[in-house]
Amino acid sequence: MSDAARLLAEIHAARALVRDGLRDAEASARPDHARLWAHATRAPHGPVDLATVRAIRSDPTTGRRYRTMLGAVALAHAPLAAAASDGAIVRRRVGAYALEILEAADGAPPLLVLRGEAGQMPRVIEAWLDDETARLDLGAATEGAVVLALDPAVPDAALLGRMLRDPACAVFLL
Amino acid sequence: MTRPAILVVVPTTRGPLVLRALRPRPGLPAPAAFADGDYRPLPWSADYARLCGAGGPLARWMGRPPEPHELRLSGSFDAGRSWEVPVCLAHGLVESGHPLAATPAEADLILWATGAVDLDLSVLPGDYALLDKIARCTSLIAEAPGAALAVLLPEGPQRAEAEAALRDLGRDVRLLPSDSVPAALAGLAAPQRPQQAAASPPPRWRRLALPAGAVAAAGLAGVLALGATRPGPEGDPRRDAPAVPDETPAGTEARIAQRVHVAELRAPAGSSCRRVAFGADPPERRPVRAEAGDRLAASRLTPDLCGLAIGAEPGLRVQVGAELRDAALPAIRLADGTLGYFLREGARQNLVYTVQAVPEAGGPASAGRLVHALTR
Repeated sequence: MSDAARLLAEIHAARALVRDGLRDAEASARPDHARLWAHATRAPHGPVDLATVRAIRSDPTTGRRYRTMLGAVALAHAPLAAAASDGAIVRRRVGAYALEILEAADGAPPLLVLRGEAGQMPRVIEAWLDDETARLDLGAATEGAVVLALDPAVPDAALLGRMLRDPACAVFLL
Repeated sequence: MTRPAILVVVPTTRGPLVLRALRPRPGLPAPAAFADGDYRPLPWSADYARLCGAGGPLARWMGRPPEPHELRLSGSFDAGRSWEVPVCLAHGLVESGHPLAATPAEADLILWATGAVDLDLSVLPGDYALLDKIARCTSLIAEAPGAALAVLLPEGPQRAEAEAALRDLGRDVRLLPSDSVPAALAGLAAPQRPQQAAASPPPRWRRLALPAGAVAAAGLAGVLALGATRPGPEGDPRRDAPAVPDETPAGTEARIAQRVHVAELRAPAGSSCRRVAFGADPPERRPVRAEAGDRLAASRLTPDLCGLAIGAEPGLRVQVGAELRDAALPAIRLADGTLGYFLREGARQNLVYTVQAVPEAGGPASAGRLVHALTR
């Protein structure tokens, strides 16, 4: 073997070692099951573990694990709007629940109405669109429906409304 | 005519709240109350829904539940029912088309009211901490120096002192009748001085009107002077209730039968309904004639009656009652454009159904219903 060939082989071997080391480091930095569980069951507007949030957003594997866990604990979830749509949607089904956005004129904020056919109503909604997420408390139901104001003055509510209009938005009802 | 903007104040012991908006929201399952800066309904939103719901005070007064509204306040509070009177007054004003001001700067009239109501919208006497509430509202009232001030003080231990405190504000204050919400609204509309208004409230809700312009300059008597604004039919469920839309006028039934055509589909001699249903034989059509009123002549439910063909004039579509739809196979469009309802074998029993014509574009029925009976 010539020197050039040997040098090339050593470079490849060194790169493989570095790559494996990085993979091990990433794996060890991933949040464990308990941290993901704590994040999935947190109260809206409660404190969050920023390392977990960063891992969920930046690491596709962790993100998938988290959303799988969220789907398991959710009363209902939908990864996409059920019907194909070429524009903003104002109505979609999530399991046994129906979400509808009531648009309004003359400056009134849109309202999000969640109706349920099942007896138990969810307490929390979490929406995911790409790496954006919003989690809001749903409050108590009145006459079988929960109403939220998607008020532009409330950043989280406005973000939720914007995300829900996108058919690619995943919705979890907890 | 420009109507004055009314700022509805909901006084609390932590300071005044302002009613920012009260809007009808079609599609909302129940009325909901929100505060600025919060996306969730207020803790007492369910109580507000009951106030407006079927069987509630507002529905009893109006004769129908009001359309679900979104109520928006400048803030919230923890407990109490004294929000009921100002909210009921706001509903009355909105129902008659009066604009509400969202801020003191926009207000031509400040409506200050507190108290709880019973099922008849009577204001319940009680200790509503009137002095404390008035003291906390002085700065808000001062923000609108040109606005007139109308006040509803419920009966209670502090009422006399509260009247004195209002006089000390140095404003022209009009005291509204405090026995009920309709009386207070009537008092708002009355052109008399306050005492006269309390003694003889106008009889009709629809006479409530708040006029254009000259609010600040002319004072309350001028503010509330002009006449009827809300056209509406008579026949309210309560004497002072808001007007409701007209029912279908009598005499339209004769025209209905011309808009909707009903014909029996009978099997011809030597054939059967089975052959007709499968297209082997064409059915015989026998138009059903209209009788007096809104009834069609009854059809005999003999074995050769295979079904009914129902059509309407161009631009209209027919709405058939569930009784016939349940007893028939899914409707099919016949060659002449009418809908064919072929009776199911197991459902050939006496039945009465209704049919009406509605515009193609949706909306209310263009006329009343026709009733048709199939009898053995």
